[in-house]
Amino acid sequence: MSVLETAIVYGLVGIVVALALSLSGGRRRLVPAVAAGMYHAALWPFFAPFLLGRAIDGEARTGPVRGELSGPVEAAEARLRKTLTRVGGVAEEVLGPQLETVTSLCGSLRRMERRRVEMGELLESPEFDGKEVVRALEALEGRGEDWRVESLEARLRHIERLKRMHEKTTRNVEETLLKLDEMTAQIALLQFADPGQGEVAFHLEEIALTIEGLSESLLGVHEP
Amino acid sequence: MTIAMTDNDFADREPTEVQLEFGEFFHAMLRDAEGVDDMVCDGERGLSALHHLLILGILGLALHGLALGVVIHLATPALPLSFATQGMPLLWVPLALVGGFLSSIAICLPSFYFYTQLSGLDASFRLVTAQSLRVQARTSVLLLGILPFYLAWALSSFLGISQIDQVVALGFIIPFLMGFAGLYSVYQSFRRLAKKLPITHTRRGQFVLRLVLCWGAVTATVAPVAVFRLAQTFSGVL
Repeated sequence: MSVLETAIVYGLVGIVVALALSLSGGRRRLVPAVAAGMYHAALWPFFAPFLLGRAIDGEARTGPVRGELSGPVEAAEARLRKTLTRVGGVAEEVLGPQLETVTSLCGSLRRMERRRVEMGELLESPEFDGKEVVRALEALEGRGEDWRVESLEARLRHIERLKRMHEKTTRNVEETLLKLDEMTAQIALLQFADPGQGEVAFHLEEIALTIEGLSESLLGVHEP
Repeated sequence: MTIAMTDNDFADREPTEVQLEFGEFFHAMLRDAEGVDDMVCDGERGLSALHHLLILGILGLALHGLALGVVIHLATPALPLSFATQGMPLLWVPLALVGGFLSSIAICLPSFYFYTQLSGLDASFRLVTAQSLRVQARTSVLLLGILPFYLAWALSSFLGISQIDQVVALGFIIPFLMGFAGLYSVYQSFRRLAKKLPITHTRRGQFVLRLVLCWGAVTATVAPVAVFRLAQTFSGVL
């Protein structure tokens, strides 16, 4: 096969990959879409795995895959995305930029949930068994400044701290999930809103406020 | 001994969870930061990381190639390869370097995936792709770092202090030498990821090192040939 024939085959595969990526990536303006298409077509061997991976992640996955969790966060995100696909027109144009924020928020939420699960697992481990530590302390009671007592008390403090963090993270995850569902319901309402009565603007304002609330909630977790 | 810990200590431990801008990503690659691991592993941020890795990889090689092309263009050294002084080196050297290295990675991707699976790490093809580009991105960052020194050395050859033939020859070799730093970066990354990724079958010790050496060996075989062939072709056309 000559260089020209190889280039033709490479280019054809590249066009297919670029088109598939363009279809899966959502709407874009013409010039950025063409530029991205040429970039993807030229370097398709590096993008093809992401294309295949996305299909598997989106459709065929039924359980946790490669360290990722499948739980309430994924379900809430799936509901939100499904609702967003149903809404078109002005609302979609206005919500477009917000969607990236939502995607980022969902990513953070998933990591928060993962951390919550890890904390829970740690609390169930023998090293973090508070009752065991209390029993050991009781056994050493009356020994005053014994270094073992100090060590056990420090361990107990760490366990208590981890418990508080676990509770706080659980509460934050639940609150954020509820807000996410609230936003999904608001977006769903947009389908039936009367554009002439300012209802769309009202709902969009509500959604923007919800997104702000979500951001603040997550920032509150990361920067307590 | 009691270690004072606050809730913030745990919160701070979590790597950055927002998408990194290109500048931040460049700094992360410069520091060989662990945060890049999280980006390449994350399904949503993975594509963004891939874009950054690709652009960084292309940028470093292209600038190095441009500098080398300028040196060849101005000095016309007497190299053993006849095509090296043909055409417009300003154009074909960057193209040959970028095309040669990226095409060799693309050709070797399936091998990288097999080696990774054989090592016992259940890494996805996406992760393998991103990690292979990480080698190139890290190499490119270092190439950008030594570019001023290389140019200074090249300028010294115009003053007769050093041999221009050596300057040009080393200019072609430097990206391969810097590749070792890229491999080290990916070795460190895989060592960290080995604690997180599923292990399909347990291997003997140092399996990550053997995996990365296999990656390096197959790339070291393909990349020089790809660069040579592309340089030969482009110098005749451009």
